[in-house]
Amino acid sequence: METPTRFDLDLAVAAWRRQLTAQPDLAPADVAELETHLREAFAELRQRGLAESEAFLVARHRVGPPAQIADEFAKAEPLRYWRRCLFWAAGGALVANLWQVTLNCGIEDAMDALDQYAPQWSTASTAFLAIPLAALLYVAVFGLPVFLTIGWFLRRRARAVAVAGSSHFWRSRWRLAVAGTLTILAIEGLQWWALPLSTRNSGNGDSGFFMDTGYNIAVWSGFIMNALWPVCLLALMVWLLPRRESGAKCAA
Amino acid sequence: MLTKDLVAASARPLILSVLAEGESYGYALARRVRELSADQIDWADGMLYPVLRRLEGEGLIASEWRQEENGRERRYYKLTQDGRRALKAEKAQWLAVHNTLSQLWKLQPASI
Repeated sequence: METPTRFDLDLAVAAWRRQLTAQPDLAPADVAELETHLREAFAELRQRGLAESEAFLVARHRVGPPAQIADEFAKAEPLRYWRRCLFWAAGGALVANLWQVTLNCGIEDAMDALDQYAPQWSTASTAFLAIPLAALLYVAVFGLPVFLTIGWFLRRRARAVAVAGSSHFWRSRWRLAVAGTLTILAIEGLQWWALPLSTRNSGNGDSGFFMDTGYNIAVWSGFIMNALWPVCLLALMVWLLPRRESGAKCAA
Repeated sequence: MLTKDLVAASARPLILSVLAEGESYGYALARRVRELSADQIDWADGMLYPVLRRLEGEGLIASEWRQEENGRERRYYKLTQDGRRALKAEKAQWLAVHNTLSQLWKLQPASI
């Protein structure tokens, strides 16, 4: 490639650095250390009389391909690798969970408001209209970010494969986050499927042993989904928070 | 030129041995090995750092960031007591291989 522009070391290093920081297995301290190495190799090659652009190419070659270095780091510190995986999966699950809790509350409020301000619409016949409509709205609003995320990660994956050739599936934060999201959705789906009584009959005043039991389970499962899950996921994330090594400094 | 497997296997004793001479940092370490081996051992230098992390994780070396005169930070590594012991064990193993091959090839065995 022939470029008439002058070689700018800082620009070249910054571009190379971006490739390194795109590797999630590399901590900022690792990137800083590799950059120091690259700059020192560059300086030495310059002293030996190489032109700037040549010296940079050789130095970059000596340090090695970023994806391969990241692979070696992941192998050298498997615990850090797994912590990172779990961290992002928990992050995705937490976002999905909070999003859903917020939407649930919103739909309940909307139904309550309908009861209060338009009681003539709040009869059994309108339930046939309102509930599917609400469900449709719910799927559209709730599903959209999920589909967007999936689409985005597929695009990213295609690009990552084109660039790196040998990219690991679980190496991307977004893939992990989507996996966490799907996990929490699957758990919620199981809950709905396993507890049809509680969700169908909790509100219509029809009492009896099954209904009471169903209602109690619904309250408990609601409690678990709305309060316990986010707290547990948050605690998990805090515990897994990527730790800075002692004494490690990060270049800006 | 060494094969990839041999480069990977020898990285550990080489790093420990260079650090036994005194503390050092990544670039100087790689340069020392390259010079001593007359360019026969040609590491992809980036691969040196994961090995350093592993050795640090095992408690064989310790690291510390220090500010240089030019304002840049450099990470220095030094051998720990455990590292010295590990180096002794490594040395015995590599000399055993070396001596065996030396006898087979009718070379002078290395002194321990």
